[in-house]
Amino acid sequence: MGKHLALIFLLVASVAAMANPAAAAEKNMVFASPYGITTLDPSVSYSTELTYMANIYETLIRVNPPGSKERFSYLLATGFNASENGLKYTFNLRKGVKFHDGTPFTAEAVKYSIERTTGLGKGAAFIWGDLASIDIVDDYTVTFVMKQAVPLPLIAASAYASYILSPSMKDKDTAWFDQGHACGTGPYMLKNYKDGESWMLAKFDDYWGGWKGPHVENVLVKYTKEALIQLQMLQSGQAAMVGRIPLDSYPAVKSGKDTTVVYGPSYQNYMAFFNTTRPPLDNVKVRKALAHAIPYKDIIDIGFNGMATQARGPVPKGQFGYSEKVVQYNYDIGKAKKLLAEAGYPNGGFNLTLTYAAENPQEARFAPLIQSEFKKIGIDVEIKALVWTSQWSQAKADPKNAQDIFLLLWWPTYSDPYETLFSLLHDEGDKPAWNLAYYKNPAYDELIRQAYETTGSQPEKALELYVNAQNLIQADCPVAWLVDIVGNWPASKRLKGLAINPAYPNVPFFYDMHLE
Amino acid sequence: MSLVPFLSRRLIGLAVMLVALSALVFFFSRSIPGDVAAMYIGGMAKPEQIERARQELGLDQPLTLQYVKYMKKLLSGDLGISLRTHRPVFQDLLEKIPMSMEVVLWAIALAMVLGIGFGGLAALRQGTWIDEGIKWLSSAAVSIPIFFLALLLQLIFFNLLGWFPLQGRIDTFLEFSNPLELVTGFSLIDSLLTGNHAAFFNVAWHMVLPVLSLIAYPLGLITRLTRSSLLEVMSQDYILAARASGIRESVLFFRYGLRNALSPVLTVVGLSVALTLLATFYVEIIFNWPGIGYYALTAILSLDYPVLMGVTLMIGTVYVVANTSMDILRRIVDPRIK
Amino acid sequence: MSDLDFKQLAEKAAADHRRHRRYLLRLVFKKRAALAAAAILSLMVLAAVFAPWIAPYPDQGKGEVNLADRLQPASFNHYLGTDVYGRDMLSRIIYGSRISIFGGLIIVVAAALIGVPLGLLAGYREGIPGAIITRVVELVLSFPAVLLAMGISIVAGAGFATAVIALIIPWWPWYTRLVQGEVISIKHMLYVEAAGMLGYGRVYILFRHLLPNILTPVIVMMLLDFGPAIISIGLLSFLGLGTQPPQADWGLMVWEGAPNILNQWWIAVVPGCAMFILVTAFNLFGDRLKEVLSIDSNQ
Repeated sequence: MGKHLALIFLLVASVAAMANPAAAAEKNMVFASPYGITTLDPSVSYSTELTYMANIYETLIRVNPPGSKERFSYLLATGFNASENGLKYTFNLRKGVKFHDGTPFTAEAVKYSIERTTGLGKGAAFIWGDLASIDIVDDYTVTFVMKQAVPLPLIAASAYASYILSPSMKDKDTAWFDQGHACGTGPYMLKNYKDGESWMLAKFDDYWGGWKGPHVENVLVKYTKEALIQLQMLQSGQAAMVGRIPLDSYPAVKSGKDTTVVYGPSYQNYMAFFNTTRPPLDNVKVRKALAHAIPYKDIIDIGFNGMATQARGPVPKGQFGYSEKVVQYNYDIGKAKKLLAEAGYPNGGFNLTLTYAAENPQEARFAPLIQSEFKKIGIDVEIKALVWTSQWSQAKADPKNAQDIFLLLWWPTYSDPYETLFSLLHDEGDKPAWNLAYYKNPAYDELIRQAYETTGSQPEKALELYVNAQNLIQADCPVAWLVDIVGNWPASKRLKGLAINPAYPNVPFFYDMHLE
Repeated sequence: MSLVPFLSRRLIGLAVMLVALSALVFFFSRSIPGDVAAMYIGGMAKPEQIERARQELGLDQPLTLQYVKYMKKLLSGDLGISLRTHRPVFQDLLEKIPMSMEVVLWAIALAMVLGIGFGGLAALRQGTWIDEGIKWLSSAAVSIPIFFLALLLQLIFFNLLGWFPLQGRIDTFLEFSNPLELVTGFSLIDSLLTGNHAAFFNVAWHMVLPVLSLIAYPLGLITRLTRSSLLEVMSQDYILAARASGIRESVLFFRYGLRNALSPVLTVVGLSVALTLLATFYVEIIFNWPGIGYYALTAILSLDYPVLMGVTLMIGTVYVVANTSMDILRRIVDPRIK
Repeated sequence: MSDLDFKQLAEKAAADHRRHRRYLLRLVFKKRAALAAAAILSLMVLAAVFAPWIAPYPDQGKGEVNLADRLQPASFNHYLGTDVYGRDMLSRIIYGSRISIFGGLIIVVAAALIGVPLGLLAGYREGIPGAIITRVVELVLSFPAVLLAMGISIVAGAGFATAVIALIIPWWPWYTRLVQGEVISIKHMLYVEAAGMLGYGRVYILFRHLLPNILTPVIVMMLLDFGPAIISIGLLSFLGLGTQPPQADWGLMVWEGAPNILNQWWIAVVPGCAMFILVTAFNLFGDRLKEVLSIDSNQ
């Protein structure tokens, strides 16, 4: 028996040695990813598969991270100009671009792709809601005609619903894509798709950007949900980058011999909706008291291990619409007590229920901190972890019987504050969807619509309107804005070029990376 | 009763049971307060889209009608579309069942062989330290929570000793050079069929810790049962009589004792298959094994009801099939059962 | 015979019974393993009952966070270290034992309370009621128990109460099946049939003759089920479908501690071991009791 074991050992060791030539390793990398694939249809995709879609497909233009010199990077378009009234945008397209199957990229592909998306009407197709028509001027010029003046370049650069796919896929449906097929113009092709296990992003030889200079050529995505396993894969060198690791292990990975953490801004934020339809949270003073009693610093330190900043309002720092002029609520337990007393609850003395999504480990981690702090002002919080769809449908069903506090993680579909401000707080009548504070304020609804329509022509004025709108909200305090998340990728020190672009949540652009 | 009517009766029973099960799961999972249509869209779904998806999925129809439609499709092998992955559930199950069954079957087979061996040894050496030791170990084996055992094994054998791999079915570097191809879904068989020897040994190596985690409970159970069952059989009058008539002890033990003692043991083996399949839920999370347990658990936690239906029906079927086949085995082994 | 004689006889019988019970107990404790198991069990039960007085930090045991002392290894202030929120692990373990022991007790007792009467009925009236009960039992048993419990927990909202109920539902049929078998085998014994012929009512026979005879196997089964019940609660909690934070629950504690297992191993390992020890103790004790009782019934 012992002999056999030894023999197997030897065999495994020698096979491993043969199969792992060190020279090839530089161009290949392993990414242990917690981001699953819900669909591979680029017109429909509106979820975590974005991590891969943005490497397989391309948009006309891409929004650069805040602080860049240029607002946009030009991918499939080389430039654009807007008409005077902001209703027509004309894009010049890049020449000599090929899709993965060899089909040349032309204006027809743009028209086909966007019309396919709007035609299917799924996923994030709603961002094209104000589109009137797409007119092909010539093979490399295309004009978008809009019904209203909306910031079209941002929509065309959206992380969802704006990808260009090959017109040669005309007869293929979503089910075909979901079997592991793709056909974009991006630097990587999808290969060896094993749903729920692993898939390969393999070099597309004819990529228009070329392969000169250092680039990662093949990325094996190993789908790995548990943070603990991702940590061990990173530390043992089995993965060059991972999606998330246990919170308390960040310091060790950051200062590790072979490992590091890459940080960057993100447009993702956490918030707590207060149920404004029934006592005691229908009283604005109670809501303000709670906003002052939230331990923002503890949430940041322990809930996020420092990888977050206190939120100011609904718009995260760095995104258009953010301003220091928006009033912020800070932790102040004395003020909280005073406000409670003014509201007629001198020693608290009431109970609240708080729901969060059971799938979200982050919320599980910071919810007890809020509970423990509210106890200090005499408020007992019952925490309920519900599966997301349950949490959400209970909140939507009947506000009068719904939770008191609803924790939510939010991110914008594209880089404009309107969608966030509209979805989270506009009056949804008796059918709430995302406004889970059940807040109603016609003046606010009017302000944000005005701001949206002036964004293209007068950005300064739009910003002012957005600030005023946000301050209307802060005065009523229907939502406590908790934290803006700091994006991060734990990675090997040998991996260079890994950066975070908050407009594309959780997307590592592999083409910009290489292994040293 | 001969085998054919016995089997046909069991088969009819199976069909009735599965219909009852399916109805139970359907109405049960649909009574869950969750917005199925919203989940189908994913992301920050907007109200109008949800309404459209609701119509597309037929969720606006009465529940009973939905059930009838579901059953009609079921008969043609269509289990619907997963709300989360948007792929046909039947296809997903076909891909993932073998990956789990591979581990489960190894665990059960080893547990059966080792369990009967240890149990027999303990009974033979009743009252000695061997017996005591086996008793303690088997008690411990059924007492350790599976998730804790799996975590411990990983901590010890990967982190401290580095003897076994951490996760998955195959080392990632082999995915570049010798990727596994899908033939039957059983990775060991597939790698042999495609002549991928590197993958074969690698996969075998990856299976050790998951199998070890899964083996504990059935092994403990079978050991204990074999021991007590054997002791009971060996004190029966006919054994005593046989012994008095001078039949050799070893013949007595193996020919009469063990054989007759196996009947209750086989019942437990049948039960263990379904139990072990459920235990894979935990083992597969911890070892990142892309099998049915992982798949089902994600479905449970996201209320993906078409998948839940599929998985429940599958486990129900495995349960009944395992029990039936063990019943047949018992009839072969134990002539007393008629 | 006079009334006095009857009384004396009854007293003597009762005394014999008591003596026999004492003898059985002595027999159980003759094995050191059973003695050790019983000692551990009583310690844990005592700790669970008197948790507020025994736990060094009762508030932390109940869930109060203590951020100043996060992730500390064992020390004289915290004998078993502290967890992610700086709570004293020993206090958490002691409070957690309440969930495990109490939960296990409810599941086992409730399962027996539902299962035994149905089993009596099914065994005693083998006709239509028996057939119906048998079918229901088979249906429930063919349903994967943990999956069922997970489903119920999700439908009703995760929590300790739902987890316990969710486990009782697939648990009771085992008792029905056991009792049904026992009743059928006892029913045809002479003295029961004689009682029937003497005109005693069914209910009387059921309670006077059948129930006492099946009590022993039921109690043994309950004891042996304690361990699996405790583990099942842990299985649900581990997935977040059982007890909710900040309550202490061993399964949940393992889950919460798992991400830190490489650096602060005690957060997951201590509650895991606690569960392992408690369940082993129940199993060893239950095994021994079964052994003694089966020796007794053979004599």
